[in-house]
Amino acid sequence: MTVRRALTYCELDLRRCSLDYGTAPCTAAIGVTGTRKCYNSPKTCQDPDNFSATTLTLRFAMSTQDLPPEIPCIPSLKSVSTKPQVLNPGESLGERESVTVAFEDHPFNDVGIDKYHADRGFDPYQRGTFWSKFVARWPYIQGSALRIIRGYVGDALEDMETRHYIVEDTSGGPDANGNFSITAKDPIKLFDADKAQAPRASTGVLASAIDDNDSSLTLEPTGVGNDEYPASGVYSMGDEWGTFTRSGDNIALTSRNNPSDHEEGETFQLGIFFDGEDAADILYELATGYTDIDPAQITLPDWQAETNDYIDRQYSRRILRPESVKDLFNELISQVGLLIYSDVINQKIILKALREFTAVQDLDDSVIIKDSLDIDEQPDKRVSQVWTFYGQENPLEKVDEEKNYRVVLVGLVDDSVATLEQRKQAVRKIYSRWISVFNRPAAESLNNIITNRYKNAPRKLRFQLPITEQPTLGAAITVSHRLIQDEEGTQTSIRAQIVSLDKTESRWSVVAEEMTFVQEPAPDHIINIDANTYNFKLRTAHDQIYADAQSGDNIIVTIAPGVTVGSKLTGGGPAFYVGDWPAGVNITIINKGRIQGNGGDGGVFGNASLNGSAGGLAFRTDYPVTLDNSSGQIWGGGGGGAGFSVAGYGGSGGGGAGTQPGRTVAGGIQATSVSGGQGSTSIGKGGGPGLPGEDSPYGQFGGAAGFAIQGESFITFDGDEGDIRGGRF
Amino acid sequence: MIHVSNNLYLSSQPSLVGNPIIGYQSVLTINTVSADSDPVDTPVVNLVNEQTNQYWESDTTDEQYIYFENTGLERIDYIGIARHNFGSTQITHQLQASTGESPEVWLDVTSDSIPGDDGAIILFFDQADYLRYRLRMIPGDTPPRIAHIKLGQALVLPQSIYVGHRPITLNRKAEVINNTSENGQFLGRIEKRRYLSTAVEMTHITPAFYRSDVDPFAEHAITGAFFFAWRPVQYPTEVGFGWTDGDVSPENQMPNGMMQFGFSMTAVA
Repeated sequence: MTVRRALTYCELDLRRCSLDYGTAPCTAAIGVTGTRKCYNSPKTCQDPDNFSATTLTLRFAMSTQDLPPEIPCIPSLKSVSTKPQVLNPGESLGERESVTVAFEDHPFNDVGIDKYHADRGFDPYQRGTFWSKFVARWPYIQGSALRIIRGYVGDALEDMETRHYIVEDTSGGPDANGNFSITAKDPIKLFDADKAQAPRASTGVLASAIDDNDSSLTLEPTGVGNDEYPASGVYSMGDEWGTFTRSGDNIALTSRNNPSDHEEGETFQLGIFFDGEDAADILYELATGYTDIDPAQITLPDWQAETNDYIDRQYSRRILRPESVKDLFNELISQVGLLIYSDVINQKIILKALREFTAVQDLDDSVIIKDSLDIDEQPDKRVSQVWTFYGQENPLEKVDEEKNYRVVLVGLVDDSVATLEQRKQAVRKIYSRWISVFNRPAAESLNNIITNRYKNAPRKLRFQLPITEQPTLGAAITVSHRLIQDEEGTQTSIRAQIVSLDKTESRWSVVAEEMTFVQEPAPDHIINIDANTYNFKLRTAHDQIYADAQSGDNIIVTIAPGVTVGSKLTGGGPAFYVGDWPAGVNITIINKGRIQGNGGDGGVFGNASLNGSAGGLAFRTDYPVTLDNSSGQIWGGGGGGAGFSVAGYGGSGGGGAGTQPGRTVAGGIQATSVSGGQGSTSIGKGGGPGLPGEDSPYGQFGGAAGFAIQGESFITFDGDEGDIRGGRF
Repeated sequence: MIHVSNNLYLSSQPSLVGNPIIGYQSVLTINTVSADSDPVDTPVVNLVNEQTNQYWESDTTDEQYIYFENTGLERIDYIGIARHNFGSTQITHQLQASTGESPEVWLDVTSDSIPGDDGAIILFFDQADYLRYRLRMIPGDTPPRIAHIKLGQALVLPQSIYVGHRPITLNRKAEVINNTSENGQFLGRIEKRRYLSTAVEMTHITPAFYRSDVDPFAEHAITGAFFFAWRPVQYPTEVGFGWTDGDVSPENQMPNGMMQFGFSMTAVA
């Protein structure tokens, strides 16, 4: 007969002083620091300055005849009740695993707990009870380690399954019936808002008021600069945000967005800027930099390998006010497509990308416990459309302020069956603060993940397995059962992912969610410019989305129809700059919109120089690229028209055409993106796209036309060259 | 197991030797026990309280002793030993006594023996009131370990018990979970907990005996544990160390004043 005798233990780690009372360095003394010896606990310590922390482990067990004497324990454990963690793939951290351990109270002689029990002058067994004395000695144990250990008679303790938790709460003391309980949770509980915020609330405040033009400020209290702020970073003050550098308590505001006046005493809040980083690195920094979790719980190389293999994108965000680390994790989980959970046995936080998992177990009627299977529909989880908002402009706006996003990408479920069945619309909106404006592939991928997984409401399966099976949390399984049939009544199977697992002495209780996922092919590095932008640097934009390009990578940039990549640089810098790349990278640019340099300013009557300014450069490359401009436009900026002055009479020239048109003095006709302006007279019209500004007949010169292309020798045109205005070199 | 003194004069009531014995009373306190080996982590004071998870464990395999002081010179006729390792590790044990006079001479109270297993032991012997007692132990390769000892005067019940009684060491109780699969496969059983259990019913007890002898036990049983041997001569190994489930409740049985009482008990030792 197969009978195994179960054993259940609970271990609790307590903070305790390693010193002996009154023995140096302990300076405690009866009659001086107290009336009796301490109990080596923080609460009873009489010399806190010399408290030397060590760990006292108490072990409790469920009483049974077969408790092995070689595993010392107190058999006062009444019950262990576990609420298992529930995974929520691609949506959130899910529900925490919670264990409530109930004990019964009893007399105790303090051997193994009180170093000085023989010196007390009484028999501790005859005075008080274990838990009442315990809460007086250790009233605060939140955050202590607690372990539940399960095994069988004959197992060594180290071979038993051990599950690790953090104490959350106690019942405060035994009740009238002698019951005492401790509640503990898995370590991800440390991410909660009341325990972890990122960034931390800054304590530096303005030493004096500043107005919206000031470029520096001083912090107080003295020394807070070195204590709390890096040499440079991002900040927020009220509705303003920007970048800064610091020396001591002196702050230089290197950029200000929404600048306004600020009063003395206003908080200067340090922000966090994740600038094109791997999701694994972002999450690691949030967890280890802003929570009390033990960094050893996260094996960063494992996380990085997962995101490198299955995500291969970078994410960016400015976090300018303290936010819950848990909420930040949930955002990234839902916007990147991740599964994160706690492995309480191996003390690891696991990160997986949402992807095709190979089923590791086939479970059928021969192992599923009789009458244990339950199948639930989850109609609320069905999705017919996903709207992903991305490219957030103002990081201080509310997350669901839709007009604050530059792009919204709609993913539709393409399912003719759903149409025939007349299923109602089910729209899910995602407001992604982590997907930058050029990262459409990330938004597309996100939409695909959600529409594939939830186009049909996934069923939830609950069943039990014997303890001899070894299901794994997060693993893919197939479940075959007489209750699961096809339309002909033949027994079939459901493919599912285990989202919850509870183990007792005798059984596994499993909750699994039906899973459909389409494996994304390893992507080219796609960059989409779907909204107007200025002075676009391809390399910078790429590195915000993807890891460093390597030989063999394909970079494909697409400027959408109707979109303009312009220039605001008065020095004539390019609107589109390819940048530097390692050898062997294949870059393809598909321009369906417009790349245009800025217009030159018209010459101004009364200035020392009356010449018009040159138009700006549209496109520059110093690296081989393939360019499909067959339906696009590349226009150099128009030169500014000349002003003139003759015999005390004169006029100003018109600005050249550009996405940022050249200036035309007031009273004239302003330049636009497609035509030059005209000054106060008909002399010195600004140049159109790629054209010079007009000279004056009095010897003043119009600005040169901006070049359309610099680096023509590096370009291989794919198809027609399209509409190119301006010189090339 | 139970040992009966080799001396034929066993007690003032020799016909009661085969009757059930309850060992609850003990003269031992933390101040009246000592041992040749007294490790900090498993001190000899652990023997005094009834918790069987705490034990004394020697750190030597030499011949050694645990000493008991009978400072009140009370009558002693039994020693109970719970949760030991004498059987499994082949440790010879023997109780000796001394008047405490110098030079100290130790008399054998019981013969030396090795029990067959690690079940609870009662050594029952002629009543005496020596000042000092000692438990002599001769280990093999493993140091001795004992969870609890009582030394005192046993309660010998006035009647033997037979029909209807479930001998405690034979009456195992187990909480078991059976697993069967959906299509009828047997998937094994898991035992969650195991313990021993029995019940005692006594009738035709004289009112004087109940009040003088049984009632103190009933009081002790409210909070304390005890040794119980149901048929000590015929079945000397059938001894349990446990506690009552509920109260020991007496009842006037007969119009002539005879009483009856009973109790059930659970044991893990």
